[in-house]
Amino acid sequence: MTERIKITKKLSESREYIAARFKLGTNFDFVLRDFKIRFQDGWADGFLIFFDGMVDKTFINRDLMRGLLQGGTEEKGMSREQTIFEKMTPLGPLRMVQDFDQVEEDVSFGHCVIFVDGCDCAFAADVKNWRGRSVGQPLQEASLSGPQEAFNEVIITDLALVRKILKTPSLIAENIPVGSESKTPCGLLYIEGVTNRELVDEVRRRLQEIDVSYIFSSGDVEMLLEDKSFFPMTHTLRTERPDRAAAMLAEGKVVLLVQGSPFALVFPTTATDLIEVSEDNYVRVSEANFMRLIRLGGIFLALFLPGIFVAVLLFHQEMLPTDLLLAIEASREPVPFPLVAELVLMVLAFELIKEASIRVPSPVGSTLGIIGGLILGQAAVEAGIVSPLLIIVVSMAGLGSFAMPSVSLARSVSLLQLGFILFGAIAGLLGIVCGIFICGAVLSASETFGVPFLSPLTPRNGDSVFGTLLIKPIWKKELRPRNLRTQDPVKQPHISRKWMAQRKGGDNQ
Amino acid sequence: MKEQRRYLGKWEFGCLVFHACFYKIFTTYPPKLFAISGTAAWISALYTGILFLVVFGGVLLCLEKVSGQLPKGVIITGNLFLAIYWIFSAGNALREFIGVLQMVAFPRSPGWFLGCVLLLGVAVTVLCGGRAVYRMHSLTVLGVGVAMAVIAVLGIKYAEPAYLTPWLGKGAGQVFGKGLSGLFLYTDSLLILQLAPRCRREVRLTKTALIGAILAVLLNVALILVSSMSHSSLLSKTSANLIYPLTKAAYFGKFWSRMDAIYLVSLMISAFLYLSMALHLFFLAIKKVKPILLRRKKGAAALCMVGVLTLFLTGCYDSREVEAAAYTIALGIDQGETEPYRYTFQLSNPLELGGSMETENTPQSSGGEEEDAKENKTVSNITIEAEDFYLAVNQLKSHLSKEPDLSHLKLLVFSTDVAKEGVLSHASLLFWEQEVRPSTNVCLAESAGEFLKKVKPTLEQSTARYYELFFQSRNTPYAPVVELREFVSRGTDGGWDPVLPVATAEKLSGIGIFQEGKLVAAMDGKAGMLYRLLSGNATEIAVRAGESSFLVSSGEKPKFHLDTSTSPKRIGVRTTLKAKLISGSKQDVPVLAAQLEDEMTAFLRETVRMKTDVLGIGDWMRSGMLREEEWENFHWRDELAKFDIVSQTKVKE
Repeated sequence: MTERIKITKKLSESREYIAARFKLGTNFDFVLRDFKIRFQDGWADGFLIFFDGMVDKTFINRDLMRGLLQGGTEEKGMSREQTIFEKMTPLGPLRMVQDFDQVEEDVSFGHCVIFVDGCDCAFAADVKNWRGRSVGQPLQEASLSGPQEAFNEVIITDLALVRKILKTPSLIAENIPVGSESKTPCGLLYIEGVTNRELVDEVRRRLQEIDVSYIFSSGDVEMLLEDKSFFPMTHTLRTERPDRAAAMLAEGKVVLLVQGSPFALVFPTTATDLIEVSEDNYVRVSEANFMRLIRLGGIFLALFLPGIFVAVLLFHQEMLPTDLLLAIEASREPVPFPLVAELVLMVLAFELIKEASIRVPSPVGSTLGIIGGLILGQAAVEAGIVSPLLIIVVSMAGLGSFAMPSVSLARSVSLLQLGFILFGAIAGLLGIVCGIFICGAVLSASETFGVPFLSPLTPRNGDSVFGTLLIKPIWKKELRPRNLRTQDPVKQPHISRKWMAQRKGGDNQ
Repeated sequence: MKEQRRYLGKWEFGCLVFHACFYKIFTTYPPKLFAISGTAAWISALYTGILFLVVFGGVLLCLEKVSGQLPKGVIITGNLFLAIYWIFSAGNALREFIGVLQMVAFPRSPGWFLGCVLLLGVAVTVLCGGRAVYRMHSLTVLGVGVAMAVIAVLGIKYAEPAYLTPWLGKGAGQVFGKGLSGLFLYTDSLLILQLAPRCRREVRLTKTALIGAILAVLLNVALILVSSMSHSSLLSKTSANLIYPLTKAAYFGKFWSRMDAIYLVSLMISAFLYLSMALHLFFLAIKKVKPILLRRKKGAAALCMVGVLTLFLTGCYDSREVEAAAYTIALGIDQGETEPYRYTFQLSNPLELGGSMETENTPQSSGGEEEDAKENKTVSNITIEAEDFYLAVNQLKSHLSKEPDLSHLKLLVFSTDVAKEGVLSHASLLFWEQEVRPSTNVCLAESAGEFLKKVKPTLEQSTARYYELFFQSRNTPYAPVVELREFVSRGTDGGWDPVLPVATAEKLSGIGIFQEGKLVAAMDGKAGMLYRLLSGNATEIAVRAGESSFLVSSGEKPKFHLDTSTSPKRIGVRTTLKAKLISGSKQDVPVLAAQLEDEMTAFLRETVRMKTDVLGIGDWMRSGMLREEEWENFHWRDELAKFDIVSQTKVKE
């Protein structure tokens, strides 16, 4: 570890160091402003530094400097450092900084740092004013019935959004800067007394032991924290909804907020978390369960339908009803390509449209839809390049992928879908089952932060499988998931609707 | 660290035990038991199952007592034995599973190809570690068990208790003595207890293992029982695996959910599960003998995958594009002129399905000729003369640009001439043909080829669907509905002679009666109706009696009663019918009963005169016998003529 350079009482030395380190004159947004300050024993030189655009200049001019210069510093019996500190503390958050490394860090984070001749320290005032967008609506996790707030890129705002929901001092938010140069603030959130300590320690340990220069997004942090980067399915839930992050915290999980990223990362994440949407908590249980089943069906369709279609059509034609088979045969007659080529072509075309629709500016979005629909649908069929049934299969699989709650999951499924098409084309249903085994084995053997990815489906830990796959009414969600081994496994008492007990002549207390 | 290796919870361990006891139902278990015990295969299955459970319970109790007390030498020797056992067992299971897969769904794929696909999935699972093996069991075994239980339940539809007789099959010595060899099929379940130290501390080993084993034994016995009941004993002897034809016949709905797809997937899952478990246990055992193995898991996995993928690139053997196949929807067999048989293959023509029945409105066609001008363009008929079926298929291939496919065969038609010579060999051959469904309908026609050429679907575009609907039981009051499975099974039974419906291009009316696979009489639609009433399969058949009309349906299956006090001895066939008055008076119900009783008695006497037993009275007689030998010496056909058979009809309103 390199030794930190201390600030000396000689202002000229400090000025020289700062001018060299921050490339004064080259960095056009770096501001160094000289001033004079009067002490009891006479005038002293001083200067302040900050990055233009990252600070609140009005506050600096109106409050900080005016307070420092106009009132004077005439107290007796105190050192210059002590005098300035006491004078300025009421004006805003202020710290005395002893070394230049800390000065660099503070200035980079939007602090204004003041140097005064004769002081062996500097004064860092937190006047940061980062420009950021206001709290907007969630885009990826849109909900009809739930709150319409989403995280933005400013960590403090994100944290406030979570606190606004949980409102408990037990919610701990630790700041762990990551990146030796970028020092990106990462907020490690958990609920004291609920979350498993070992889990918190493990996330903290991994965060602290990341040794990279720069962090740009939560995706970087996710990749640096996860066990297997090449794993075919995401192991970390990324949510842009504060309410969902809060619900996860209440379950006993750890949430990580990263400065500059509008997504919170949730640890540990299991497969069942990936199929949840926040909408589930805001509608009636029967509706939520129906939608959950639809979503599960969508995942099944997206993952297996094209593969099974190829497998059955190439290897197991006897399994189709005769009329359907004959209809397929009639539709395939004019198509010049083998079934697999046709299907892969269509799936890739569909993925292309999906990808293009994200990149394309919104005014031409509808045009893209028309082109996609015409090319993939009508024209391709009329040209005899693809059969109509195949369009239906690809569309069904596509709809299934759109129904998935997580974009990351949808992308993983799209990737696996191609694998299943390959397996289906190689060995029919045997290939599909082989693919399922390979995926199943890899998924079931994997763990995130010590929690099996497929739990409680496997291994069984006592939690109801149906209760996990489907949605229970809130009054039945009495326990936290066992696989998290939380400090307080009981979320609410057995009878949470006490009014029922009263109505039935039970305990009125 | 050792604590972390205890991955096995009670659910995982129970699933492992269940599957180890169950997987051989897909391979060696059923044919072996049928070969040893004949009709009493289910008794052998039950008996060995109970014995196994007793032994298993004992071993579990011993295991609890000696756990952790074995000397190191014993442990190493034991592990060496286990390693040898598991590697041989895995090899043997791989061979067996490949054989079954080839029989069931991949007839053209070479064994090494199927083996490579199986080993790819197994290798990845094993390389992912014990957790993956156990958890894959816990994820899939319940599904396999439920699927097979559903097959057993649906199979009850095809069950004939008469097929379980003689009750002791090949005799007590075989069933209880040689049947004991069935115990060896449970060896894996005993040796799987090698995993006991990997169970979590809270797992109650004995209870969990016994529950898994009991469920597996029950399911084994249920499947053997149902498959025994759905096929005649003679058919069971020739079968490689009788559960598969059962699944092929069973429908879960009208068009969808053919159970053979579920069976096939269950079979594949079972193969992957067992092989991965056997290899995992092999590596566990050998690790204790020589702990240096399996260190480079990733490298081994990559090598394994690259190797198998290279093999994949050599070809997809059973793959065939839909449009490259010519689907035969009906097959007619006549006597040939130059060769013994003339086969008429009716192939679907899907491109014409949009506008099937076209009338060629040429200026010449008019009036009475219009009917003949109508042509069923949804099908093409190709007639080939050949010595046997496979030679005919060979010749068919030379007529077609596409490959013939029999998987959607809906109808098999025998001409009466061929039927008189005997059709059981043709029917059996097609029954065991991998592509043909046992549920294919069979019928008789004056000339099979002409029948197929003249078929003109009415109110229907698709000829295939026309056959499906035409041969539905409710639609054919004057003829029985017979599937290939039933025809072959009864033809080989000896105690129950098969019948076939008689079809013309216009209608299905009449019944052909068979004896030992040969047609002995073709009777009219009235006889067909009486047969349906007698056999308990009639649905709302209109009958006129006295001054009234009734809709008559069968109430229950016929019951037989032997009266030895008369001379000759009399067998009463008791049928219960339900009559719904359409017009007239209820007072005519006794008239209806008397009329039907007389007609049915006459019909039965006629069949007995021909030495045929169309109602399965022989099977009923057989139910009083203990051993198959007794039945073989009984000579039922000769005995039948000595009985006077009468119908005793009870009509309920």
